[in-house]
Amino acid sequence: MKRPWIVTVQLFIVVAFFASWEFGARNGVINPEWFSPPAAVVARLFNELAAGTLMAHVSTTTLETLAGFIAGVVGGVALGIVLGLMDRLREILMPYLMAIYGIPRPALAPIFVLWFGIGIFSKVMLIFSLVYFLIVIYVIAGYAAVSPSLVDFARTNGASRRQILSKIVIPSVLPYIFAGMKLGIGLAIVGAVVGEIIASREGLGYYIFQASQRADLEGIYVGLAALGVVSLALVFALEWTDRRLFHWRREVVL
Amino acid sequence: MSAPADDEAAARRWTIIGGRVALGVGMIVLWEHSAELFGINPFWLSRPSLVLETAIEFHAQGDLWRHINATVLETTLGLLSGCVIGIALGIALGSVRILRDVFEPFLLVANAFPKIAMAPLFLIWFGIGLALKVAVAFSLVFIVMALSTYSGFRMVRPELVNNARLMGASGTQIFTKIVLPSIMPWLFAGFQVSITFALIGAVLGEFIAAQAGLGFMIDDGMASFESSIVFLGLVLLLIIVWLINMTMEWLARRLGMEQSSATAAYNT
Repeated sequence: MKRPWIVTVQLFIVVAFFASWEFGARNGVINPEWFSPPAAVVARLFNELAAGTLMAHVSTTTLETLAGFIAGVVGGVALGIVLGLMDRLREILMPYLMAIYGIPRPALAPIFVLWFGIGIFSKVMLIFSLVYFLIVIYVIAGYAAVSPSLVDFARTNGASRRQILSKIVIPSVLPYIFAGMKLGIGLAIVGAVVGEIIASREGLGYYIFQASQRADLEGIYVGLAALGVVSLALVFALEWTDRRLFHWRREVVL
Repeated sequence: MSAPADDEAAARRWTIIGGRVALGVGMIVLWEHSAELFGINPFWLSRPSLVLETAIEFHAQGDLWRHINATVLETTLGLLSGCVIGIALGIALGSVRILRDVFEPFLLVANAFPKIAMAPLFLIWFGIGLALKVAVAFSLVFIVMALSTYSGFRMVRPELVNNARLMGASGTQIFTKIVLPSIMPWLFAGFQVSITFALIGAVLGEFIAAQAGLGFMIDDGMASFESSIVFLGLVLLLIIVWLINMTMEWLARRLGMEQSSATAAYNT
């Protein structure tokens, strides 16, 4: 499907990018106080991996992200289902849900630190709150997208409530839940990083911020590289699952 | 006559509106009296009256507008620079097929990466001043604008372009009469997301290092355990977001833009 020369060009761009960065930083063409040479960053990365210091931060961030994300998805789906079934309650709550959804929520991090301290728990709670409302909104949107004519048609043809639920409602809502989850995982990582930057003693956000406070440029790049691996792995794992499961679905529009 | 149905619909509407108002007022009352009712120390939750007092205090010292102005300035600069570069990139990728094929994966990776983690790097690059916050806001906005512009290009119907070309339309005419109207809803939707992202970027940049701004206020309130200051900052942020949303909805109606007809998954 993809023409091989495109991949070649892309690889060339990546190689050329890092090569010129390396060369430029070593020869003072670009300021090495701003851009550490990639080779030095990689060497440092392996040192830190061997010493075991980096992995502790990686696992803290991953743990926070997954714990908050899973709790948020489970809770959000539960509330979404309840509100999907109770029309009036949903319409009463909707403007408030949208208002909460509209808050620049990563800015809420300090309140969670104030309430839950600087440990892992405050980050998990922050991520939970970020993911929870997102999923609720998506589940409700999924309900709204269930085709009423399809349900009517099934009902006149004698489908039971259970059949309607399992054959029509759930398959319609599930892609929305997944669309919410894809957005949610990114938000979860952002929540973890922001929480760790503003108040923490562990995690990649803390690691990167501490490096910047020491003006340790290599350290910043090492932290960013590790964070990149963690976040891309999580985001693309979900993307891949979504494509496998819902390759048939229409575009999800909120 | 459908009078009974109308009555029922009206009753339903009033239940919903009444419920909304009751819930809003109830929440504020519960918050105000959370100490007496639930034994929650105002240290954690503050109270609406305390938040208001803090606001008046800040205003008296001339700090309220100083913080608001700082954040609004950073947001605006980040938004504008991000839009200009992002739209330019989106147009380049959208109109030149080769560029799109080659650069699409890079854009998707950039979208998936939590750019907010770059803030400590920007601290070293740009220092603790205005440039830091603008850079953080810019980094969030330009990806959104690039992706939405170029997604818009993919919605341009090729048969329309071909027809116009067959009938002798010039490149400029095709761009202004077909391409631009097709990508406008996407630009608009992207811009709507971008405003909030720019605000988030400015606030998070202020968390990293600042002497003014709503993010500074919130962070400072946290560090000195003054929940009233934290909540004042959050309430002010909410009001700004609310004003922006109202303006954008009004604009969408004026321009006849179908709300959220064009959305995609963007990452902070």
